[in-house]
Amino acid sequence: MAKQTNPDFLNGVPELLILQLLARRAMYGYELVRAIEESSGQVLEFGEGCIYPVLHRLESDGDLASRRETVGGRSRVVYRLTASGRKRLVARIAAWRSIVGAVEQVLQGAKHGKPAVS
Amino acid sequence: MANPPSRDALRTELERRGLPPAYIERLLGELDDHYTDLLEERSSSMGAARKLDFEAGDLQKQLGEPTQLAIFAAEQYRARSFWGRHPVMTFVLGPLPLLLVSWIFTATMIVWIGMGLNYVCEHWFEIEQDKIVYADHLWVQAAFMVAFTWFIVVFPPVTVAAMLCRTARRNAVEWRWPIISCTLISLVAGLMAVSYHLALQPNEGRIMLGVDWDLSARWMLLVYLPKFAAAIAIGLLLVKRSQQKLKLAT
Repeated sequence: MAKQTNPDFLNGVPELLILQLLARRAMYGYELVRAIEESSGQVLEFGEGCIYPVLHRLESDGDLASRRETVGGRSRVVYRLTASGRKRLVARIAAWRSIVGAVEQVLQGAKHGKPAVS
Repeated sequence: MANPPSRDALRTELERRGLPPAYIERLLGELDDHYTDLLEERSSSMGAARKLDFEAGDLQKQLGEPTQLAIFAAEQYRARSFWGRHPVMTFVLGPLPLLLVSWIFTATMIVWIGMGLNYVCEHWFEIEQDKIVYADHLWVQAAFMVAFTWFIVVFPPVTVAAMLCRTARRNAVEWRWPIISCTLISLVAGLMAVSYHLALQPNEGRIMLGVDWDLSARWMLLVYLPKFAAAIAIGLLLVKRSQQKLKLAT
């Protein structure tokens, strides 16, 4: 079987977070950025404008649906997860867990490994 | 609604990367919303309007630098389609197989049209082939063959080049990719050669389409180069037209 590569395992982090947060409830861009910051304990911060191109791509892939709605007295584009987005989220979570597991294994191996020069 | 200070700079960067106007408008609109939310958040936590002015640069930083944002937006836009994700496959490896398919399709169409015309002449107008004096219709034959030649030599490469330019424009792919495609198509189109023999008797007419190849400097300069130059000029015009279409839409 051909080995699957995961070149975007770090590039895919915002996508994974967006899908996970939208699986809980529909949100607009600003809300999503704040939710990422809060959920990650302020550890994950990034150029906040970058979230929109990712949202637009996910929408064009059919994983998200958007609608202009009035929230808090202002018109905003609210995004929600589609059925295809849920499937993608499941796949992304599985891929992420396998990567984290693999990295953890390497780190533990390094702890027990013998030094190259003694 | 407030606009980020670098809104115009971001628009210029996005346009420079060939993103479609509708996409740019949508992105800028959502960034305006986001910036307004940032301002509101700051004003509720700090209150003073002067402080807000002073910190406009900070908010802009929080939103992202225009160039970095535009690069990221273009990457994400290209990632939407196969053509955008794989420009080498589409614009370097793709043109020649596409050209071949286009030639096969065009030739098949011409044969079918010819068979159809033949059927119409024989069954509708009851023109019998044996009774036609071919020598009396040499001009008609010549005109038909020249039209056929132009159609089969020029039409498929131009169609493929136009299709690739359109793909590049719609997927915000850098313009060097369709230019590479047009160069490859022109290199092959320059090799095309056609010869024909007019009919004096039934079934005597011939059209031969093939590849002409000679390594002599004379052939290169007098035959190949003019044909290649004409083809690449058409290709570059198509690229230019695509760029203008994008600018007009902007």
